[in-house]
Amino acid sequence: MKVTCERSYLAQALGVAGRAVSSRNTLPILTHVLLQTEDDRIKLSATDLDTFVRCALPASVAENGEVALPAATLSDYVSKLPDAPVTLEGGDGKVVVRSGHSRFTIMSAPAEDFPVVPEVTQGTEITVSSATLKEMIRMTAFAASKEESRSILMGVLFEARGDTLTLVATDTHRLAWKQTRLNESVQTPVSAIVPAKPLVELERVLTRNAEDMVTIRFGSSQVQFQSESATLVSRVLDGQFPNYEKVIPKATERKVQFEREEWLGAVRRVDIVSRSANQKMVCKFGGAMLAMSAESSEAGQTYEEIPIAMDGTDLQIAFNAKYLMEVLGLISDDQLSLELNGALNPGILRAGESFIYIVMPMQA
Amino acid sequence: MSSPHALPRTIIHVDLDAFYCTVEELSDPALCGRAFAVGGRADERGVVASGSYAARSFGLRSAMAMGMAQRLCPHLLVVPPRHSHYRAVSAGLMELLRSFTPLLEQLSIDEAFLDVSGLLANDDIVSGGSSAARTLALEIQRCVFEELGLSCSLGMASNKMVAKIATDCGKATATLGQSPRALCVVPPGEEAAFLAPLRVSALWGVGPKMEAHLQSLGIETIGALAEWDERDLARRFGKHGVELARHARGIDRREVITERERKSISSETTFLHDVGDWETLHATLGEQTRSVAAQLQGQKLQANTVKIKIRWSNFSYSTRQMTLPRATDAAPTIEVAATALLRQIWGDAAPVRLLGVGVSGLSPVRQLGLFDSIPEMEASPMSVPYPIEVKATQEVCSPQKIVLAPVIDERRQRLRETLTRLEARFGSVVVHLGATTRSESS
Repeated sequence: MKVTCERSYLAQALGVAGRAVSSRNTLPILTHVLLQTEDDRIKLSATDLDTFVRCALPASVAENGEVALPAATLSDYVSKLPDAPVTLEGGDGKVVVRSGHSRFTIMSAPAEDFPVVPEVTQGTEITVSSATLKEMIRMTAFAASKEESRSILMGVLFEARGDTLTLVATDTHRLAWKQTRLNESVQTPVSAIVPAKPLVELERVLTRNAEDMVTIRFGSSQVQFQSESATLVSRVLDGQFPNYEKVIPKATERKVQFEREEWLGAVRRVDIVSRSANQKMVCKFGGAMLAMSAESSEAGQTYEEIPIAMDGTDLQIAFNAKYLMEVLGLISDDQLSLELNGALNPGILRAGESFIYIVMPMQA
Repeated sequence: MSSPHALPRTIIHVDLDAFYCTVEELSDPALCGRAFAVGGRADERGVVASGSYAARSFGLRSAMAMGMAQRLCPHLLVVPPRHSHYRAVSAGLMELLRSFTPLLEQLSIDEAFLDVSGLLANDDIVSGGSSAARTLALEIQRCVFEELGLSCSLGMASNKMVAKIATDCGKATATLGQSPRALCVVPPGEEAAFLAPLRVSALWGVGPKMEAHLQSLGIETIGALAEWDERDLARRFGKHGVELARHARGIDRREVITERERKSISSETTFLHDVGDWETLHATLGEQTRSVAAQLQGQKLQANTVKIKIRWSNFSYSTRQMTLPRATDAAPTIEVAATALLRQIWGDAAPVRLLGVGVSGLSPVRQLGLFDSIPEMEASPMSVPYPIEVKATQEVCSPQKIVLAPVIDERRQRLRETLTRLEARFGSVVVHLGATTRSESS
């Protein structure tokens, strides 16, 4: 193999592929990135066996070939090179990386040892803009469970029905729901639970450009996200997502309107105390005021007030401050509404028509 | 003596006399007056859990190896323990004690603190050794004997530590070979004088190491410790030194902690034979976490810290703990944490004598769940709430060389949750995991 490419492209591609490189040391080959030449480009692949990432960069190929190289070492070296063309040459146990007067002989592994990179070739396909998908993942994946004991909830539900795509994630204490319109309706409704972890990695590499399109193809056991520059294949979780529609309240007794920035600032201050008090933040909604307080024997007490506009009677309810802080930090709308029923019923936060966040209160 | 804010209190420490033996005597009156011990058999490395007073006159002590006990007392009768029966009797005892005051802190199966300040007029508390306080203590002793047939010793003082030491002192004055049924009262203001002649090892928090430390300084008695410069103790032993200085002067501000305010919940198992295989340890850990979770759920508490404890075959201990991202009462969550901790400290088939799981950071606060009232998470796996993609339209070029990471089995999860609920309802002996019965049959 002999191939030359621009350092910046190679560094960027290694950054993308590196996200899928296994941090577990179960199989040494998984710490490698697979390089394959193809016409006038290099394909890079990496995997932790749950997720496969593939991206390509332009290159001038003098001699075709494929080889697996240790991802971290190669990435480290390339990131420290000056911006200039980089040549990779070799095979048979080692590859020489050259740039200007620098030379690095790096140990390689045979490409055959690398797991076969899967490709989802059939299944329902939808297309959304990179910016939209990025936003949808950002607004939902954070609410997925981090507890391995409930593996299904560590995923984000993708539901395509008619001309809508809905993403839902929940850890059973809160639930994030985000919807978008598709340009084309799907023939067969699709429902797949995609692990949140690779989605978070995907979100990082997706562009904010509304012109860039991403094709999502749902296979029976895998899902493939394909953009101009990169492809990510993840396994889908096998199991049943809880019936989220049942927990979205149909009617609410109270509606509160508030400024996002103002509430976020107050919750962040309350959190300093509530984090040592089981995260509990007591909220008193009354008249034109929301009063928040937290009390901890270790840290002390906090009290905050913000002006609100409210329909309905006064209510005292306790929330996990973290659950509110996280979502308020993600939303970009300035004016938000919170709908409430009783002190033991969920609160429903809405940002426009396309985002719903349901959070259960705490019982003390 | 007491802080300006704290009201003077009267605490009674109740400790049953040879609890297991007395319970066995109640079941089998033929045992009365005989030298016998409740515990494991000598050929199974058993220890004395409780010895009858007749046996104690031969020098037999609790926690002594049964082999040793039989050498001291050759005609010793060994009675196998019936723990579930003792627990039932203990529950009855605690209920009886709670009828005196709800301010009860259960220390062990046969020991409790009662804060009886509220039952006494203020003058009686201040004059501690008053006849009213004494009458109450004797009444408790009488009730325990008449209603349950159990003999107990009491210590009464203005705080928990002195009350407990008082019980021990009372028991020590009993005639050898007889049930003590002691009552030892330390009037308020006399705590330091009462403790002064005792050895430092009588104090809480003074183990053999600390005792040796103190001895090297020439401190043998609590009185000598009380006279030692507090700042020097703080310098030598840190926070513990400050506590020591206070305790030596008979000061202990700890409140009686009732059941709902418990600091930790744990479950421990001493193996019949040392265990050196992962499967058995892991299965035991699973049973223990379910027992701990059932206790948490029963008391409507959640914990945010999980701890495991191992006693190795050479009797040394290792412990490890971790804080969870969120408080929980769920067995699977605790088990995942406990398993991770076990992996950290156990390896190379090291033989384990005792394994235990505990949780702390308890709080009654509960984060409500969205799906709490919807049984759907447990519903049959056949029910599908939405149209799932039609398989016939799918085909995936699937990888051939790779093996996907195992998916956590949801059915196993549901089984565990059901077991937790069963145990909470019917007790811990209803269902066992197959892997945990193996050690008993081997």
